[in-house]
Amino acid sequence: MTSQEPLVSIRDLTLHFRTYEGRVKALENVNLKIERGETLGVVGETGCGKTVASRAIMGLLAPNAMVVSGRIDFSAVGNVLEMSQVQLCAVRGNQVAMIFQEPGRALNPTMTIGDQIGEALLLHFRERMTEKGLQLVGDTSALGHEPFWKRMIFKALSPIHRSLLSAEKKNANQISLRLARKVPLARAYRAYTALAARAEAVEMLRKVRMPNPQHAAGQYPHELSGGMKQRAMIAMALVCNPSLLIADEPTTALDVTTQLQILKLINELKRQFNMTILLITHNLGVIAEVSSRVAVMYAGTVVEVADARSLFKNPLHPYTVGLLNAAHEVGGAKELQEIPGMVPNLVNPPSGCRFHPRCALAEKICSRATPRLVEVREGHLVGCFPAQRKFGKLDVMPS
Amino acid sequence: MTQTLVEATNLKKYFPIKAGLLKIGGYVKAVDDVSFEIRRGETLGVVGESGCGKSTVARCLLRLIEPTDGEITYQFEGSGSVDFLKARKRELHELRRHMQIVFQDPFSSLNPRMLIKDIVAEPLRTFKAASGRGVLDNVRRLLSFVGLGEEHLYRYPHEMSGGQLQRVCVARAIALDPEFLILDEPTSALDVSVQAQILNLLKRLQKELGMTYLFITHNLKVVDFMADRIAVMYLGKIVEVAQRGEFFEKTMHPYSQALLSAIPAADPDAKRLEKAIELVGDVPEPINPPLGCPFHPRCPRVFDRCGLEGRDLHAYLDSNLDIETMKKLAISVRDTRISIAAKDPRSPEALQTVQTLIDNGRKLGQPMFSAIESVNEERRGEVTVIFRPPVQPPLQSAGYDHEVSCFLYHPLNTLSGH
Repeated sequence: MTSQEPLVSIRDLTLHFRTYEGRVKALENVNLKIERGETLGVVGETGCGKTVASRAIMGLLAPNAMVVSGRIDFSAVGNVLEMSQVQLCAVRGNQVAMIFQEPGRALNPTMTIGDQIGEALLLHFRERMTEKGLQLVGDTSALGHEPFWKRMIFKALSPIHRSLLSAEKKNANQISLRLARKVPLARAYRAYTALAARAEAVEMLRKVRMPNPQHAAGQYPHELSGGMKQRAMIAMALVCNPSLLIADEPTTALDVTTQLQILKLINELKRQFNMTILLITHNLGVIAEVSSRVAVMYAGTVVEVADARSLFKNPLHPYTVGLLNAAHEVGGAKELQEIPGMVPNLVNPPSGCRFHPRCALAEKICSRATPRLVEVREGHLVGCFPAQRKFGKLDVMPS
Repeated sequence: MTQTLVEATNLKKYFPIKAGLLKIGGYVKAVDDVSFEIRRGETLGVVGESGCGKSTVARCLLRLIEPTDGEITYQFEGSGSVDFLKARKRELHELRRHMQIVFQDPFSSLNPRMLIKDIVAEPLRTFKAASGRGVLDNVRRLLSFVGLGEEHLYRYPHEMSGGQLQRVCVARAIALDPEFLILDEPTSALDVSVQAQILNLLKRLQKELGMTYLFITHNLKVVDFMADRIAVMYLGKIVEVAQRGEFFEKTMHPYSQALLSAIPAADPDAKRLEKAIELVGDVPEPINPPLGCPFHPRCPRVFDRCGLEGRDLHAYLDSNLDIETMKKLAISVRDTRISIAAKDPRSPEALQTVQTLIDNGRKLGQPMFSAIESVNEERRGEVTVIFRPPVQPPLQSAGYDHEVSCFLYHPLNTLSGH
């Protein structure tokens, strides 16, 4: 166990959504720690709250969400749930970045890939971009793609642009600069910062092994294939070098062979950038290949947390066991074991342990008290009374 | 004993690309000359990545879309052999009683304004298989067959979960006791635990009702569970067909091998990812598919007979020469012909680099260069490379009930007639 404090710790998070049907109790007493440098896999079925939990870390909750209790501590910046939108803007993209399930929908169709990646840089690292832009002033080869007359205009204006850029380096919000941004030819000085951002975007695209990155940076999302779009998403997420990368079903919309490329890329980049990854998926195979620790979620609760090996070899929670048995492996048994029943409606979740109506091991106590996560073996936490009793670590909350 | 139920021969479906009011700018070859048979009582699993044409094949088999060319023959019990594509409207209606389909997304394949009982009763009414009170009795029987109860009769689709809706779709499909059922990705929209329920249900129904399945999926784990025989499709073509056991033990086609190795295993010790065969690039556009074997540009075991062509050399130069050199070259490709010229005839260095690259490659016998028929310098400052005419690998037997379309498994002499 590392003695360092975890990068993110979610403590007793209870989160509801107000809807016309009533309160959807999306998360109930969720406790989860993300250690530095690990890949934590969160696995669970549709509606189990895995996406909500990850969005809460980013502060990306829908307006009808209601945090009932709990906190999310992000090591460097404090409790994310109490931050204002302005404070969150500084964290998002910079400290935490996210890759979404469908790259086609997450990218802006009206911007080129290079501009979208550069946008994050211009937002979070304007100073560095200004500095780099300043070096480009007067260098006509940097504007090589522009027509001759435009290059000449830029050359003629370079003294003005240079002074404006140095002014921006000192203070971007000066009144004189704000005025200059309204003057047609003068405001073109910002083209240099954009150029600098574009150059870094291309470099990032090269790192995610995009074929022909220079060309791809000038393309729109619809011109790229699914796998290339996902590479662009990854580049966008990593360009600010975040300490935490949240990957929400990064390969679900992709084909197997493309999935393989993306998973390999994520593994490689993790080593290269020394990132912490929160990987959310319903695919047990993907979890097993990539993550070092796994949390299993069911109906808004975390039911089991363990390192990948002991979770797959020695699952303790009956839901985890059911999930592992329901997935067929090549050359496996000829009858799949089903989990009877279906996922409960979270407006009216079952009392006590939320899994008890579908559980084969359910006892009387399971419907009366809510189990807490208890460490039954080193690094192996489980929230199930029968499993806890087996290890002599039964923990019943007084109600 | 094994009888053929469906036989498709040289099935083709080309979708025209409109380039104007009356002009056609080319065709998307969604299904390109596919032949296969489905035997009575078996499950044929069709696997492939998105866009490989597997769903189009299913739709052609039901004539939900008209195939461009080819022949489909059905042999239903007691009705002899039927040429399905020549059937008239009346006949077609009668034939369709024997064939049904279950789609991928149960939410969009059920009418949201109809009650479950009416949805399941619809085929019974259309084919006058029951009337009056018999209809509802039949619906009850069908619903209990798929594990639903009395309480679901008077519900609308939005009141039910995905797994339950997929059960309704299955109940509707088996209402007329069909002989042939097409399952087009029936479980890909469902969660793992529900997926297990539906797969077990489908298996049970097949045993009890003696149906023949065509099971389409992109998930090799599911196909291993369901299918008796497996067909792998790539870019509108079937590249390998084999019995399940044989397929997983003796996978032949390099594409099938790559697909199999790419499945992540639910075992953290396996670390299959590291050993997996990673394919380069993306699936090419089916508008202008590669010549010869459609898989050759991405194949890790490509050799000179696979149909290497101008585009491949162009891509090779792109990745092996630096950008500056490439900028100095004018390259034009037409099928197996590629002309490379220096943009500026006064500085032929770039062209010389290309020539040494080709010469060295030919000396070393690299597959890209041993497929070259001739290199001509017709004009000064222009090199034309011509590749040998491409031959498509035929789908040929390569083992017991195992067909593969790859030259690695076909000795040269079978090629003589192409």
